[in-house]
Amino acid sequence: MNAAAPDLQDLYRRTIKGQAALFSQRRPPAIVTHRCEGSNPNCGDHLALALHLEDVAIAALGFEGESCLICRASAVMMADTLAGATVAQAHEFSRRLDAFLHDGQPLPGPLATTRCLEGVRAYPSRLSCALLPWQTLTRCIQPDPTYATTHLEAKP
Amino acid sequence: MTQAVATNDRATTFDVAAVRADFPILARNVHKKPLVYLDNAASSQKPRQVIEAVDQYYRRHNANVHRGLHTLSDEATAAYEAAREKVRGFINAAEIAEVIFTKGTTEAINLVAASYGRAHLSAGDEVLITYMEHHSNIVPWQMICEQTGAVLRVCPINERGELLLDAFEKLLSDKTRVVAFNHISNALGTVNPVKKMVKMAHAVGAVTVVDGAQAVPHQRIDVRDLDCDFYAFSGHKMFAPTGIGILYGKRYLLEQMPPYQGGGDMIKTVSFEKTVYNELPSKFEAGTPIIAGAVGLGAAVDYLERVGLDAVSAYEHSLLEYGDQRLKSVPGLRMIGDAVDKTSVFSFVMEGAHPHDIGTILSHTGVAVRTGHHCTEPLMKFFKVPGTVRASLAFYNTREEIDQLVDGLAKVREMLL
Ligand SMILES: Cc1ncc(COP(=O)(O)O)c(C=O)c1O
Repeated sequence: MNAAAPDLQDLYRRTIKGQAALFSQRRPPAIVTHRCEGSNPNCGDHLALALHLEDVAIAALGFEGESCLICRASAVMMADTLAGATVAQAHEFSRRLDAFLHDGQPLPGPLATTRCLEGVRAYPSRLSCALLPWQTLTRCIQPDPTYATTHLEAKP
Repeated sequence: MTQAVATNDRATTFDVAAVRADFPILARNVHKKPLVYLDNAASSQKPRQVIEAVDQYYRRHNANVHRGLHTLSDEATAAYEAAREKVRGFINAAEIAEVIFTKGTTEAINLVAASYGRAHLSAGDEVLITYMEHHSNIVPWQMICEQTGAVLRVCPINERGELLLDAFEKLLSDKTRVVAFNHISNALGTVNPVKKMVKMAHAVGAVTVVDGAQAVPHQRIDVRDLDCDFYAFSGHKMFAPTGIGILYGKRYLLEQMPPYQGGGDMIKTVSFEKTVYNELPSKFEAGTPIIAGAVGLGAAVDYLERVGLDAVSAYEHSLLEYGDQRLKSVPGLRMIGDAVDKTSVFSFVMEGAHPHDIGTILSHTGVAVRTGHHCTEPLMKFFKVPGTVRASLAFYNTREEIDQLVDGLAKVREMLL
């Protein structure tokens, strides 16, 4: 009985572990125009997102905080996917990832790397971990220009 | 599965196989593995005797209480009040007037904070709590302090997770009106010296509110010996249904307090000019209560009396020692909370693995633990951890189950590291 159940192997794929390991390298950029915090009070994920927005383009983004492996991996993939994207694309990708993870809707090409997160679909309580970075970001880039920080309480 | 337990100098045996047979849910599988339920501090499982009492109540006696004159209403009222008497005996309260049914610990503490607090607190008064409180023994006091202008003080703890009694004594003054603290910490398992603390609080004229949520399933409680003014606990953590709990309060205090909620049952007469409130305990039980829950709680009390809380304490203590030794041998594991007087809880973190990931992997091995901050965020900040993995015991747990937890942690290392 040594082998883990297949779905567990699926959740903790090597690629996810690899992505999560890069988290400490995705630090806040030198110039920060927006900051936002997200937390997942049920498990203790906490993410502080720092964003450099140039007009409507995401010049750079990075993180601080302590969170689980799934959340860290998702954050890294988000940072890499969205560097150079527009605010509108960020909203669109976030929505598409949500639809993919919840309902298995198709993923657009630029989000291909995030396919490795699909193991969370079998773990409703872990969906919020994968989505936390994206929800924090979309809060951060809402049209309201006075919007600076938020405390996002992701519900599982 | 009879496990030998030495209590003091008297060797007793605790028949864990027999008690396990009383809990139907313990026979189920999770992820094709036998369930190892180590989340008892969050909520305990229910023995057949409790499930059947609730079932029988609904099948045979269900009606509203204290109202109709028909047979079913009489039976329901008798069952409800019999449960109150059982609880009275269980905690050794002087009289049933001092035993108030609530939804649980949270509602019991809110009742005291709102009712006693509003009547007795004013600007400049102080409420003393501790660093290791559950949110439900923090937030109600914050709320009432905000409303009354009273000041909330917090007693610090040491690295082992024990209260600093010197600091506690220094924080007490003639301004202190209320002192609220838990009997046993849900996040650490620390057992607080309640009797001593009550005495210290009384010396400055403060009333004491003890959160007993984690104590009642593990040790015999005698509210008169503790001499506390209020004692709150939840049924669902002591093998009874959810939705029922108890506030014990000394009669003279309860009598001084205004009602918490208004409605049916808590009144003697109502007119638009003047309403006369009912006697204790009804004064604090507005509306139709959780009757079946009370019946279930009564059955849980009977069950615990039969198994014997002294035997339970001794058995759990031996499990705690065994688990402590086994877990401390797991590489990279750091125990959070290492009080000299401790019970039933292993709270820990593991190097390189987030508690949430550990929880998911353990669940796959059939082991149910809780991960996160356990509704004690200030405590997690004190220990500088985002949360912990908490394995919490009940008397139906076994050494083999602790072995399965330890094996599960080996799997965590294999998967994550
Ligand atoms: C020490 C302590 N106090 C209070 C509570 C709140 O109990 P309930 O949610 O049953 O009201 C708990 C439950 O987790 C607890 O462990």
